[in-house]
Amino acid sequence: MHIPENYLSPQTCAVMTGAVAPAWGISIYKVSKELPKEKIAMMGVAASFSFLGMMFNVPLPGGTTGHAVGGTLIALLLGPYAACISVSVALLLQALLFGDGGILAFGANCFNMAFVLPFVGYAVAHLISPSIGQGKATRRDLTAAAIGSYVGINAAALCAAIEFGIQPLLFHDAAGNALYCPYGLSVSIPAMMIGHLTIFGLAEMVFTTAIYSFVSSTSPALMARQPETKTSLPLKIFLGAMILATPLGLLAEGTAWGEWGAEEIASTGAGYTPSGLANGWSLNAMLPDYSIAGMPDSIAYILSAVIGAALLIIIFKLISLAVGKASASAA
Amino acid sequence: MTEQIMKGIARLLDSDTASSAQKTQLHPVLRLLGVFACILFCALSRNSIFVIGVIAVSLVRIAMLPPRRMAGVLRPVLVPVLLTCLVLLPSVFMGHPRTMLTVALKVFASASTLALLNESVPWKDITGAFAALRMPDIFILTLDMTVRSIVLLGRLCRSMGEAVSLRSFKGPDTARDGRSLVRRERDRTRRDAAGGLLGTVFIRSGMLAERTSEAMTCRCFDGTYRLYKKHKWNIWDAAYVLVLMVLAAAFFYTQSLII
Amino acid sequence: MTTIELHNISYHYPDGQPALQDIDLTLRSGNCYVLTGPNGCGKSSLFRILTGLSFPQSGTYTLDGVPITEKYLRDRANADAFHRRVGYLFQDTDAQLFTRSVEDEISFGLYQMGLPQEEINARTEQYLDRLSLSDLRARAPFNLSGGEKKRCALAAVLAMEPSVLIMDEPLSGLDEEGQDWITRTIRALKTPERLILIATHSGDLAASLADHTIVMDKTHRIQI
Repeated sequence: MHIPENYLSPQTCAVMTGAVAPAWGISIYKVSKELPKEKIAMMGVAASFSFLGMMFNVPLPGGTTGHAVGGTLIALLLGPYAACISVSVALLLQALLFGDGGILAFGANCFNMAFVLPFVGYAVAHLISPSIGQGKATRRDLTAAAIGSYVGINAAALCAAIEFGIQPLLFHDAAGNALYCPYGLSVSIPAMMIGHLTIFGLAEMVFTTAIYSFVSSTSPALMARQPETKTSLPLKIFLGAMILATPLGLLAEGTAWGEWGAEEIASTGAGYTPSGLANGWSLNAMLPDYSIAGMPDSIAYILSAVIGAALLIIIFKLISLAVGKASASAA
Repeated sequence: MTEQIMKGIARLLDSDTASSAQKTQLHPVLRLLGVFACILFCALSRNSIFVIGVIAVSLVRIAMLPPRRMAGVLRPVLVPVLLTCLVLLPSVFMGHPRTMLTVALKVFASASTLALLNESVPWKDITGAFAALRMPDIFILTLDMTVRSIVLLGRLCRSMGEAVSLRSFKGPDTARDGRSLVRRERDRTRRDAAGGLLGTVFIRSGMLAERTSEAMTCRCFDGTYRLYKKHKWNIWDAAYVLVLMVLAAAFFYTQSLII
Repeated sequence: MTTIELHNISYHYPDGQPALQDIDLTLRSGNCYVLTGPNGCGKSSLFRILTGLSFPQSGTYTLDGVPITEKYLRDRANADAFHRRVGYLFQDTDAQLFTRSVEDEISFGLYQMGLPQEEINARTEQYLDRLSLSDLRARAPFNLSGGEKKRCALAAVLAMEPSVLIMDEPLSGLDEEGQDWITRTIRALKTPERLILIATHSGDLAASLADHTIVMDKTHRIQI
């Protein structure tokens, strides 16, 4: 899922770095305040695990690469803030020393894999099993870890796909050739999601659940959780808003940097319709109500995001209920 | 796959031993800044002149390396370029033939700049640059320990992998009827061993981390990390700043040539 | 003068397994004590208690008359003063070395102690030289050979100039030359101000260094 150099425009990279910076700040603050110092050494180990996991990657034509990340696992073991730092460190080493993932795209990669992935995975796992991480892992905990990691990595892959999928829409030269990633959302999303919904999501799930259950059964001391790092309500709102607002910001960027875009579209004349523009809004297909006539795009977007999020929460609560009943009857 | 990891680790180790001989005179932050600027300019460039210029300079620098080290630079450059071409191939048939060339050239320029940095500056100085940039201590500490952990884990994985492969015997192939059963059983054992291996490696590294934190406690560590010697600025740094300015000037000049 | 007194110390692991039973021990500076005993007799647990990493369930541990308890060490200033005085060389050097270079490894503790920069530089140089590490100063500790790692770890501990030096199996994993080297170095460390405590399986080391030998047995007690 590493976005390589020159796949994203520098402007997008700047926006993504700006988006992930507060997450870094909060994570560093939270970790230095709340993570017991005995666990700090563990963060390095976790980062190296994530690093090794990410080295087993497979290129996805039309997208980037697919691999496990382990972000949800780290979030479950050390908390999402520590996971954010650990995965960022792993990504930094890969970008700098191994040329895997761009230097400029580092912010974007961190946003996807070090921010969205662990936080979404952690939230989903806690939604399904609120008691996860306390004591020996129950079947419900393991299900929660599995689903959390699966949803986490797919959320991250979707973010990555959107980030480079909107590039041809926003940036191309006078002749209509894309300057950065040439694939529109209609290509990038399937390219990324088909791989991640199947094989890599599965890999992440197996990786997470196997290690989580192994650690919880053989070495519970590693997971003995300190006074829970509670996410305060304002922080929750802030994080939620960031997840929602960043794609918006990216789209708005089209107008912010619009001087270029507009000029070029004008100069192309009738010869070329950016294929990205034609296909870009295939997102509409996912939620038909989205394009309610006359509604401003931004409001429609926020509404559809809220509805989507609510639907997801409902689905997970239902799963949680079902799994809870199953494990209760098993016990 | 394990081979890939070992190669990566070998590269880390190489750059460490090579570094003990030569002392880098340039401030690593400057070097990092230079590479960053170069990559940024390449990404921003609206025409290929600047990008090809960067490639030309990189190629000259690579050409001046001894052959053994040259291979070390070319591999990390060619792999991403070929990968980019592969990933972008469909776009040629979708009506963007030039995109593949543009992006591949830019990737070549960025990757070669980065590879040359890694060739000439040991990883310690590169990560050390982040310390000099006043990144939060906890981040630097995690960074250092991650590198250490990657190396130790790589070694552990290899030795344990060898132990597993030594123990997994080859079943009797002659008995035709029982063959598939034996093989299935063998595969199952191997799979279990692999799962246990991963978990065991995790536990062992967790124990390592625990002892490390105790060692840190014994050396008065209280959760904050204070660091490192300051680099003294010298004439080479000034020269490098000049080079950076030339780079920036070249960028803006080439941008004015073709719109 | 430093005096360590252990009185009636008993310790068991979280799972209830006993590790130490009724340990009574008085250690005084100027002496080198060698602790021997079979694996699993509780040597490591004793060291963890002496270095303030674990705390006994019963009994008292005093350093110069000050009882060392979990509560006492929770205070930042107390912990600092304590760890400054008690240096611990771990058996597993890989775990003990965690920074990016030999130099940084040595100066880590000095920075933590809050010494002035000149003092840190001077001491780092001094101990690089003393343990013949000057040529390796820029190398990453985890890339060194076993003997070099041991020297690096020892330098990092010694640079803090502790008055109590506790070493867990300092010769493990070393070749004969390395063992000789470390033995000579430890002998040079014996001063009237310093208290040295070594756990070892090596009879040679015990014979050549020990002022006193302490033997533990399978019952987790000290034999007299």
